[in-house]
Amino acid sequence: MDRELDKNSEKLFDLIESKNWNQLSQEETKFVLLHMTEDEYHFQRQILVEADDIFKENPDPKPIILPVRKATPILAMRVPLYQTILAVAATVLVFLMLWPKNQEIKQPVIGPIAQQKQEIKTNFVHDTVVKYITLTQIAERVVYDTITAVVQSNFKSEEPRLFQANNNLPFLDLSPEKLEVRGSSLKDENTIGLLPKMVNTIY
Amino acid sequence: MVEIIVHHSHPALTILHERYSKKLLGYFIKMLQNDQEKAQDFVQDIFLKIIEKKHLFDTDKKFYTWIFTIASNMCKSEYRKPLFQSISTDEYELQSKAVFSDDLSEKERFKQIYKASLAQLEVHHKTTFILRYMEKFSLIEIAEITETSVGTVKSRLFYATKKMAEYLKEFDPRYENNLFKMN
Repeated sequence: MDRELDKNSEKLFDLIESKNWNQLSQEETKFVLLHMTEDEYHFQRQILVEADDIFKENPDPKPIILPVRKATPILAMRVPLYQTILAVAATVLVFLMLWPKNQEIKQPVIGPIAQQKQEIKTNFVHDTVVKYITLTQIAERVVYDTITAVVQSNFKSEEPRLFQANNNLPFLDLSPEKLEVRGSSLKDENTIGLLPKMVNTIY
Repeated sequence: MVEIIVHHSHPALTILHERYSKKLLGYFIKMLQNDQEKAQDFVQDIFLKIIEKKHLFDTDKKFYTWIFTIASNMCKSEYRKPLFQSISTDEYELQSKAVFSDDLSEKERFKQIYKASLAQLEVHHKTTFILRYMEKFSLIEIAEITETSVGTVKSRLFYATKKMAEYLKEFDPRYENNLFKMN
């Protein structure tokens, strides 16, 4: 019965709200009588009509009191979720753009050592300073050997030199008497006038 | 109206208050067991909520419907509080007997019993009943406010009326013939 009433409650409501008992058709009357009496129908309809008069006198509302708006501190400000997400995304993007790419963390290579060696790049450094170091080695033992050298020479013995001579050369007589003047003095030259004056000052 | 909400200007809120506060106060009084002080506080609170939740307002919907959605949710929350108790059957009988012991007119007595019966309804039945027959909302608007379907609204209205009839009829069936407008 309750399930039947639940199913038909909407239709019953439509009838009670819109029609008096005497306005119901025969079919509607039969339908209503399945769920309630004629008196109950009347009574429910009367309750709806009377509802309008129950709360006639309402008091006047008090005037509105609006709160004084205070400046919200930055930490207490409410930010919509989408703005927060956008800010975080922008920060990450800027970070990725500015972060140097060569500082990427290399994953350790796991594999045979031979393969790892092949991957090592060789850098040639051209500014190597070559230093020669003289190492003194001490011989551990000395071997003495006799070498016989046979030298044949075709050279003749040298002529005796001047000072090695046997004083058989005559000495020159250098006495003043022997040394006579054979040249002329420069001041006696006729061409002296052709020489620059400076030369003349010498004399 | 949308501009008023978005720009959050005090004169605009004053206009909203002038336009809707009386209807809202009436709704809260009916919903909150005739507690007028609490209803006044609720009116104050709802305008603060409008400022806080202005970003939730759907501009495709009516402002009037939206504000009553907030009001209904506030009442629903109040009913969930342990301190808030809807009128019990014993209290209802006491109130009803007190009504009859006074020298009130028949019509006034009926009003008192009607209010007591309304207070006994479950919150979802009471909300639907008040919105429909006292605040004069359409079925579609009630469905929007209570976030249900029109079919559910009709069903709730039928059961709310049935309950009201039980409370009133059980107490004194004389009213059937003597008081109602339609007789």
